[in-house]
Amino acid sequence: MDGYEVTHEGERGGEVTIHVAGRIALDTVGEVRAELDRVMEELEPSRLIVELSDITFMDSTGALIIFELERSAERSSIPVERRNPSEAIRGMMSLLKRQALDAEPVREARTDLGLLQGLGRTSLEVYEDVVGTLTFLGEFILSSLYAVRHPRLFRLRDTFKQVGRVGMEGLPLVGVICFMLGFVVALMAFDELRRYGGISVLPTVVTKAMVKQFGPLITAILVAGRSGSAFAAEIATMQINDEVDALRIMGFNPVRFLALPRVLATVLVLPILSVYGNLLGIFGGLVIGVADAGMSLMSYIQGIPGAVTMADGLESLVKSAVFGALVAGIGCQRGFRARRSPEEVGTSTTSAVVSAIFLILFTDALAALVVSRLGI
Amino acid sequence: MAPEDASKDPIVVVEDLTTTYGGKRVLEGVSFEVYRGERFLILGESGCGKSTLLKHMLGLAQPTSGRVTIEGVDIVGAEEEDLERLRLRCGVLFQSGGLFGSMTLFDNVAMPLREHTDLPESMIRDIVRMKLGMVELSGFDNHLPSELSGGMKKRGGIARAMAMDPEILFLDEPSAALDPVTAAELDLLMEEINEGMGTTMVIVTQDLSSVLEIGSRCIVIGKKERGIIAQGDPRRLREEATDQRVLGFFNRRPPQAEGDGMAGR
Repeated sequence: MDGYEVTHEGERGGEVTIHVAGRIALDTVGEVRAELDRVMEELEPSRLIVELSDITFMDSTGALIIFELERSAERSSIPVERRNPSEAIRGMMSLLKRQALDAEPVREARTDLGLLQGLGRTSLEVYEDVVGTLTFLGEFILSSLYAVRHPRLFRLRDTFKQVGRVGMEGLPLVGVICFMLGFVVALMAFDELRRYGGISVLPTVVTKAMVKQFGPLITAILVAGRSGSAFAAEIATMQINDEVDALRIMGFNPVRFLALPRVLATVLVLPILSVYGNLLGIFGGLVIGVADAGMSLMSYIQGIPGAVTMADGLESLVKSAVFGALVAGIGCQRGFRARRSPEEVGTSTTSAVVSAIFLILFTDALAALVVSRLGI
Repeated sequence: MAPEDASKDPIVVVEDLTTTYGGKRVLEGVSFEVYRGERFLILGESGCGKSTLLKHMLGLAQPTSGRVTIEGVDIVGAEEEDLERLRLRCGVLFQSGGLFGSMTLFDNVAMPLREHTDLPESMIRDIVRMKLGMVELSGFDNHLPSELSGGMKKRGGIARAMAMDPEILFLDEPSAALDPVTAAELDLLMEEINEGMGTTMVIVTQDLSSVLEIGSRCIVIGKKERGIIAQGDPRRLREEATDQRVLGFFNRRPPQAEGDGMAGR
């Protein structure tokens, strides 16, 4: 039969036999249990016998119902007896551990932290992060100094390879974005300048904006996204594949072997990319100047040199170099920090980009402050 | 099978090693010796600390207390020069092979030679080719590790570990994730290297048939004891061990399950 049947014999308060018959499985247990509960409540037996001989099919959930019945009876100090389970049912029931129902978890469930606790935990994580980064910085400086004293250990070929790689990766991205940036700056400036008849100042505005701020900043952020994240991913993956351990075993210092070439390469390449970015931004402005503002090519170009001083240019280059160190350094550090699991590759990559952007902007603000105070 | 003529000359000595991980003690007071020329196995249930033990023997981790001595050199406090010399005499096969993904197989095997010797490139090429031949990877010089199968990666790792003809070869679960035939081939290779070149082998493994085939002596680490619960010839331990867990390990028999006890009441 496809249905179930629960019948009972016996008087209230006395020995009661409950016959469970038919199909006792996932699809019927809800009703079966309700029936069993009803019987127990109505009859309040002093002794319970569970008759199982007419069960045609029982799955593990069905067995669970019987366990639950027995357990609740035992809790009320009612002696229980199982009768005539078929071999199949006996087999099923021996497979299930009744103790599992009452097994307390070894560890408490994780409750969601309240706002305050969450804040606290995040603060601790930030603190640990800062400590870890400073430690890496120390290791890095020591490795670099050691390499200076033992030039043979310096991996020149690797550094050149990284220079080529970071440069190649950056060129298209920086080119397009900086061009568009110069374009947009010129567009907005033109809109304003037009009112005051100061269109001729357009090249100055664009050049100043690019060289003093946007060029180095945007280039660094782009390189962080393109190459800094790649550094983190590469090194994190190497951790998983035991490659970093293998390096150590073979007598190499992983920081000197992996991080130093990448950081040095980025420090060298970023200023060059920034200059290239600046030029493309100025060119973007040129397009607006000639097409929208009706300036001649010559008049636009003449406005460029006067816009910035040597000091500005130098500041731009120095800032780029510093950004380069930050981007590559954080990228490598995040890679080394990754624990050995595939998810960590993803988190380290994201973290490398976010932290780099934060550091770049922070340093930029700091630089602006210092420059203005020093009156350069 | 077992190299009976292995001298009782200790090449690796672990004394009273204690290590902690995340505030918990993983190993306590572990002491044993590895003799020159033998095939020494480190066995135990999952999570008992055998890979951690290996890491400490390699100097990749620092113990809380205790000493590891290789060829008489205490690797914890040693001078950089002594460590450097020691590294040239040890080779390691990591669980995932540990080959550098950005280099070809040839460059991987050549790397220790290029970095630690002044040999000309032509000589290095011959040595690398010979090592590749030894592990049956001839012709795969220009393959990247990602283009090799799991078994090939392990053999490549062994070729690199053997590049400088080390006196000791450490292997971390060499048969992990390999099919039975490939694992058996790897066993054969390890046996050949050990018997042909006298290389001492320290192998962390869970592969029972490998253990019984090629191991000459072993220690079994117990998770609860945080130390050695049995040592000796694996084949003898399989028959004569007194600890039920050790017997169960060698005979591939789980402990008697405590059933529900309610069946057929």
